[in-house]
Amino acid sequence: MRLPEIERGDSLRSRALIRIISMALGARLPDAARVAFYHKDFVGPVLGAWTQDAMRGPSEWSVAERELMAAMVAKWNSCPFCVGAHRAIAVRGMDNAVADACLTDYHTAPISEALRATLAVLETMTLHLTN
Amino acid sequence: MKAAQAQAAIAAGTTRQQLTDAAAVAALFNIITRYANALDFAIPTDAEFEKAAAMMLKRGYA
Repeated sequence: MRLPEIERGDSLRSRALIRIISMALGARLPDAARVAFYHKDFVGPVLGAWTQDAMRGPSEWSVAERELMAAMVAKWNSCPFCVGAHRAIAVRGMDNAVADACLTDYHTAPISEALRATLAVLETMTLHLTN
Repeated sequence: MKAAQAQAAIAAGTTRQQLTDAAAVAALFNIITRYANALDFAIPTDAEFEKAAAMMLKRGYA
């Protein structure tokens, strides 16, 4: 369900921002960003700060590796928006073919054994966390 | 199952901190994917995903 208030912005400021950023981007501002602007006293800035820390903060994982993990969770949860969005960011720091091989079958993809074993943990976390 | 997999990851060279960082990414995207699907996010074209990716690398998430 897409609410009109999210689609167009819930305040004059949000509406103006959505228009300006869409123009600068040369594309329709994705719904993920529209949701982040919605009722800013509720979830947007808090979730944004957490996401920034997890995805861009200091880590032994590269930004591309973390974006690929996000795309993998999206794949396991059948979320085509997040697969597309985070695959597109991942391939700016890794080979297209590696990202696609991983999304097809991470067990056989040409990735490090550390990343492969970590993806197994994340798959269990996402799909089989029953105890 | 999970403990054995975590131990296998450490045996494969993953550090404990890397496991923590990866778990944070997965926890976050287990929430975000549910938002995206519940709110029926429109699916951009490949070209639009690429433009948005450039913006997300430059500007980040905050």
